[in-house]
Amino acid sequence: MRLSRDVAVVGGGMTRFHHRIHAERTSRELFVEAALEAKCSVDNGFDLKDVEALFVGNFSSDAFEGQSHTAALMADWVGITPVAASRIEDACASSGVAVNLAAMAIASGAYDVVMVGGVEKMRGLTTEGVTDTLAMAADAVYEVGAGFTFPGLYAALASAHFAEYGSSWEQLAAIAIKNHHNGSLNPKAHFQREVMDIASSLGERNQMSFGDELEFLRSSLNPYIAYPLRLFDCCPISDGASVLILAAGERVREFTDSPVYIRGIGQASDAMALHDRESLTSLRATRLASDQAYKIAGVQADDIDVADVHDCFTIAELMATEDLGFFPKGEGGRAAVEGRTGLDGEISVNPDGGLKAKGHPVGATGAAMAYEIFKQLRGEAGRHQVAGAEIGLAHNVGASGATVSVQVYGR
Amino acid sequence: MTWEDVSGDGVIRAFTVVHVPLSTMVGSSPYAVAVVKLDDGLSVTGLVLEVDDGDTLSVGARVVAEFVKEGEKTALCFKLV
Repeated sequence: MRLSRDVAVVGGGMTRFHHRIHAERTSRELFVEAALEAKCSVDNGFDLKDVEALFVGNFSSDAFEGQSHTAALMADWVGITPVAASRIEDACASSGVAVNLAAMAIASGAYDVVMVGGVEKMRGLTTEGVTDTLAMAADAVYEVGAGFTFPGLYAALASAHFAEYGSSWEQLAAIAIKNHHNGSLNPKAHFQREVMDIASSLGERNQMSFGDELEFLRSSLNPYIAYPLRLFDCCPISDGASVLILAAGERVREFTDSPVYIRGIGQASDAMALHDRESLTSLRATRLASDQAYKIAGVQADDIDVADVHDCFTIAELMATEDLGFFPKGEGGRAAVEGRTGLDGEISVNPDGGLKAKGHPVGATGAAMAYEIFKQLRGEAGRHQVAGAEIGLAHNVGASGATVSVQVYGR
Repeated sequence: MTWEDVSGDGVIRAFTVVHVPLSTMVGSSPYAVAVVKLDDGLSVTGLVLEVDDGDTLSVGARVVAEFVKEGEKTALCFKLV
């Protein structure tokens, strides 16, 4: 695969990811907010009439809101009909895939200016309803039928990784602590508090006190969701939307002097059910999608300065940092404990707090990763800016790894 | 696709104990689910009966299949050997 024309991000916007503040809002309102921020972020101004096509990642507005036909609805409410509007559903990778397709639509010459984004309004359902809906992204017959929940699938991957490499839950805890720290610096994040800060206030309410994060994370205030994963190993249920404006290389200077180019893209699929995969300690689709993206971009894993990786669960970040080639297999956990993935580490992973702290409105996540990398490479990430970030990567996973999309970005 | 007979003996490749269940399993949690590699080479997923504590399971533990009837349905489950 190749990109036969240059494609750049020229604008981006996202809502804060949260549940409570969006309680009274529907997905169309969230998407419009993100789209207007994207429009206003274009340095030289942007007329929505310039948009030629819209791609929307959305996992399940059908189940969450009783609303399908999502892309046309978003085009209508953003005010860009009659452009071609298409919805992409690839579970949690919906808008990462949408970004790849939007880039291909421009690279192919079909369009010069495309809007791409994602949206999910999850909190209309109870936790039980959300658990059932997310489980639809696994094999309904052979996995969900056997009792697997979505956290359960990643918990099973953790058990296999622990057994094969001697990695541990304490290493997962280091990832949660780091991502909460990063989230505390990001005004768009769902959780903007350090783990210790949460430990103090939850402890006070329950007449308990904790000497450090691990003592809190081992306590009854951090219950198991799916052994060995506890509450703080899991991303929250969030509502939100994210939108980018992409333009063909020839048109970029109309919009900005500071574009961020999509240098490479990759995508792969894998067996849906974990039991049909050769390895349970690595996501093959991550390895294949990133290899493709690196090759097109002409970079290697160690060229990446900043990466947003798919940490729906802490074990997912550990595995991603290995499968993307940042660390050798089996060393992702130790690298996290040693701070090598922190904001000032050798490769900054999830500086925005990741899915863990920023939140994970499923369909909005992939485009929100692209938004973060856009901000990082322009030096506009504020308090969670990674100093001198030149090359960035976004890695979006569908469910337990049957879909993975990757983009490599550069100035 | 064709049907083939396999033995019910195998080892756990990966497992979890689900504490926050699907709506269809409310009342049964915590319950254990495992990806099992049968000695014939095939891998399948099923409940591990009589286990509710993750610390009592391990990757590599031997299990044997047991079919459990629930009304009209028959579920493939496992038991630790």
